Amino acid sequence: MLLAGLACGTPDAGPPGDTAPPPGGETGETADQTPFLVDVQVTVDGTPVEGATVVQAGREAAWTTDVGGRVAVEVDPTVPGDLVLVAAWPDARNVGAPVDGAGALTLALERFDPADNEAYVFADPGAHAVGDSTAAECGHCHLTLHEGWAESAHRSAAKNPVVHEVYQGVDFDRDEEGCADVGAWEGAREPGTGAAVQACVVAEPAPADGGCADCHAPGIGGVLAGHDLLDAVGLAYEYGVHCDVCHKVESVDPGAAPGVAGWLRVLRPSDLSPSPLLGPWHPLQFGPYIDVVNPAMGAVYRAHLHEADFCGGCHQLEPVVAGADPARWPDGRLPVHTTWAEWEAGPMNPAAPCQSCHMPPVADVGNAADLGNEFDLVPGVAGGWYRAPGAVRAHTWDGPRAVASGMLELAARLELATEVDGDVLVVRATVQNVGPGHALPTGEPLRQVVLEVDAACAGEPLDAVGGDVIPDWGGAAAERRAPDTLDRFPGAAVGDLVRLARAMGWVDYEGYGPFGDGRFDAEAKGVPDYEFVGSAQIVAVTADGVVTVDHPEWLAQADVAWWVRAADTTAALAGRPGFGFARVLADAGGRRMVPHALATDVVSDNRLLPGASWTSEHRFRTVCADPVAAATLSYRAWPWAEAQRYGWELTPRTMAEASR
Amino acid sequence: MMFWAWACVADESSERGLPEVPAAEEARARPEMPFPPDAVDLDPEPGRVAYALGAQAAVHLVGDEEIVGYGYDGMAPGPTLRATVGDVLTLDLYNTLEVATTVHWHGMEVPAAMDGVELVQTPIPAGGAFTYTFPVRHAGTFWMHPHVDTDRQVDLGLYGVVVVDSPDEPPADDDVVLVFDAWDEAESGDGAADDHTPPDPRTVTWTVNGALDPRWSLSAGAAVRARLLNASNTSYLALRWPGVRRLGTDQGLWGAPGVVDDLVLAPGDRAEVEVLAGGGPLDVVTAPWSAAGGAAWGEPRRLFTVEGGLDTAPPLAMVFSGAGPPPDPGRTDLLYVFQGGAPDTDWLINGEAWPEVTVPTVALGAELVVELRNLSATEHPFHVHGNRLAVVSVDGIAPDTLQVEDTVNVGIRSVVRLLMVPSEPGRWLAHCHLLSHEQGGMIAAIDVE
Repeated sequence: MLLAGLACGTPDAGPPGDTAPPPGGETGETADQTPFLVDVQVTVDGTPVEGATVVQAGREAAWTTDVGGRVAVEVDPTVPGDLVLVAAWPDARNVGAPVDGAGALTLALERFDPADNEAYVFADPGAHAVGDSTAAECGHCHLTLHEGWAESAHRSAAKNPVVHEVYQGVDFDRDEEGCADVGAWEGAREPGTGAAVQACVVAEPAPADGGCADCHAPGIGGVLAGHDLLDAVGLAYEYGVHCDVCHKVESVDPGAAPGVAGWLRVLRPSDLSPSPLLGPWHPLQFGPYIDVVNPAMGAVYRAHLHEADFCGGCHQLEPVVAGADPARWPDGRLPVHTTWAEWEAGPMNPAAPCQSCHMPPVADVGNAADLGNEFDLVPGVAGGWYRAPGAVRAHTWDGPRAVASGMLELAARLELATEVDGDVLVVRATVQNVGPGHALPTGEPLRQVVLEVDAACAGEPLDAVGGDVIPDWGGAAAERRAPDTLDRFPGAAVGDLVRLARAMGWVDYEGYGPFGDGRFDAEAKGVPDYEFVGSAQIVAVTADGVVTVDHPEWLAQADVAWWVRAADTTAALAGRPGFGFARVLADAGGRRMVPHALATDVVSDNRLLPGASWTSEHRFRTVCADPVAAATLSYRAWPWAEAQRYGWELTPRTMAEASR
Repeated sequence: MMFWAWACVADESSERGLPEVPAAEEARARPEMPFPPDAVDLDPEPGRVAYALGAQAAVHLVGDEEIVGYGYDGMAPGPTLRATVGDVLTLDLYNTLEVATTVHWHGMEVPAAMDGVELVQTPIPAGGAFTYTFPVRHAGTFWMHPHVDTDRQVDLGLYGVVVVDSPDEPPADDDVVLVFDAWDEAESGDGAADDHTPPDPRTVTWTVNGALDPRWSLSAGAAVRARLLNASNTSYLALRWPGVRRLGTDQGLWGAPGVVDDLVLAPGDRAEVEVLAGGGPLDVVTAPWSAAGGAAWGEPRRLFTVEGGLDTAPPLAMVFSGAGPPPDPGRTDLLYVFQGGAPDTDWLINGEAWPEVTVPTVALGAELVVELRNLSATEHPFHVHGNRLAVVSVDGIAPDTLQVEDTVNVGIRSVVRLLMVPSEPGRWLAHCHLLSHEQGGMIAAIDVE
């Protein structure tokens, strides 16, 4: 163990460990740059072990010990920095020793205590600034990784205001006066402190059964699983999914309870620290590299950091839900969040795990500790060794929220085909999931992909006369269905719209799980097949809310009507020409597109699986020979109705546009 | 090429930059720039060029290392084939290797039967021969290499340049080829890394026309047209060559000349530049660039030095069309999405790996809009056989001038749109020219009818 490596060395001072004799053996001098062989024996707790991995730090090549724990390793003396051989074993911290010529070397590893330590306090990721942090903080050395993480959704997982508002059913931005019409001014708890406050309760809260915190706030500490999300205070609240949590995951158990409740097996060190410089416990980090021997890390190699199963720990949620219809969900589990399973069943498995798209290579850093960029160190124990450009992967986990990443623009293909049939322009819009290895959209089921289709002659919009529409969750102030009358919308005003559609049955499609494997018929798949009838303008409203529209004949042709306020026509899209792709969850009362913690059913799921496409048809009355159709495919993080309820900003992001 | 790097750094000073060698000693140690000879035209008839080459075992001297490899007529690069637009080019290839081989005419519009891929040709067996013959349609800088066991055979040195002149272009004082190859792209032996790990641009050894760090002495007053080829398997060049005009790309002249500040040449990629005598010696360097992430950490490394003499040369009297990029038709006919990156797995296009791929059929002569999207963990130089690709846009931005390519690098999370008009019927491959990726399944195909 090279304890001297804890401190940051300088070229003048010489690399840490430079003068230390190699533990367990002597190696001779070498005078040139010729590769030389070192006979390495690896022991664990004093016993030679077969199958241990030996590497020369700073190289990709790896060797494996034989039955006697031995292997001959060819050392490349041209590798910049200290020449160090490192041994790795799954149950022991890596051990390294310097070599300077051919000879023999014993690398003695010691097993770490396999018991998780509830007394351990997760390390602080720290400030991202050299000089503003201490070596005990991750960002002190890992500048680039820290910088990426600090802007990521992982960092804000525990303090995400949307999560907290849904968790308590509260709109924290609304004052008592503003709450009067939409909710109840009642007791709530302040996110980040847990303090009792008064807030505007606008919806039913999520059950505080710990499921949320197991992924959103895994760094709460103590007993790992089952915390109330409001237990997240301090670092656990501020930093959410952070360095010392992910790198404490010793193994993964796909299929177990999400997060730190089972899927991600966290192992916090129980061994006492060998030095007060290293804190109270012997450092222990599970990482993606074998040649890390800085004693401040206590590094142990784990391949799962490269694999989708690791990400699946918090990107796969199929909870058992009380009240789920056993005829639809025999085991009581609702497929709420199935990104990992979608990938696992898809064509990107195994070639493109999550990391290959969401953690792209970073070529402009010397290594994960910014060796050569920020730190003028000799490559060695303290700062690590140079890695081939791109070996370091970004810790940004770019997704739909990372606008600059362009991930949404890469995900889908949108193509239009048109034909003119008499005075009708027929537009067929095909949307294909061409990029992701998972469904589109995926993850949090409030997410939607919305297609809007229009047509024009010389820039003048054409009237739609038929075809598919955006479903209810596209947003409307109210909905009415036959056999109820379609003209009663209390609160409506002249100038508002009533979008009208005819029910044609059910859309059949191939979606995830029972929505595509034959278990559900089209009706059970739950996507109504609506045919556009018209978008009528309200011209009169009675005191009891009966509306008169400019095309009353459409009311008779329609089976469903959506009232849209004049101010909302570009955001509340239900009934508009277009289509939509979403997983729709419903609560026990039948309310659709609810947050997953309230759901008792997945009523539909027509999201596009990897490679899948869907063609919708739309018809417009054309007044010219060369009409132009245009379509926009957008992503919405949450539905219009929830945005209205909680006061969230609805900011659709364009994924693709097409015209023809 | 699998051997330990000549240029691996031995100490910190050299690791941070170029070797510090006294000038006089440096001058003695550095070789003169070699140029591959022109192959001998065996057909005196106008309108025809005929060549004969042998695919042979060869020993390449790279610095002090002797590398046992292959070469056309024993050379890497092999002799340069020259032709003029309108010629019929014939090559009799004699295979004296112990393995089968073929010739693929990279970038040339040839009949499908001449494309050198196993779809259309039984590889030429050891001791066998094959005659390739086709009309030469377009001017440009092309190259020839095997398309069987490609990763290994190209790596061992089987490649050469094909220069096609246009009668409309004025001859240069010198018209030369500069072929770059990287010779230590991966570790070898026990414990070698998975080939999904891109080579380290800080340690690969680059040769120019087979020479390490040569000096190129221009003739006094010379105006030189230099045709550049990156023949490496997986290594990128990011050339910094101030003061030269960029004349063209894979498929001949651009619509207008450009400059060479950071010229990224992906494996398989070509460029044409104008080099003028005059001024003092100039080091041409490559900045670190990796398939895994592009511009990389590290210092630029010298590839060669141009010694330009004292007499300034006038620029070449090239006539550029002035054409801009084609407008974007707003549709996509062929979409290729690149995926992958996990060790020991396939590289994918549209979720598929060769040979289990969907093959679309397109019409001969139809204008196709091709879109490339890269969602994988590395860049990919995408090469379409037997077709020319006009660049419409890169990440939504149209180029300044007409650029016609056959090998287009696509950065990570980048989108490239191209126009293509198939001119020959048959089945054509389209693949990543990082040859380990090609071997790893990153191949698509198009049927042209």
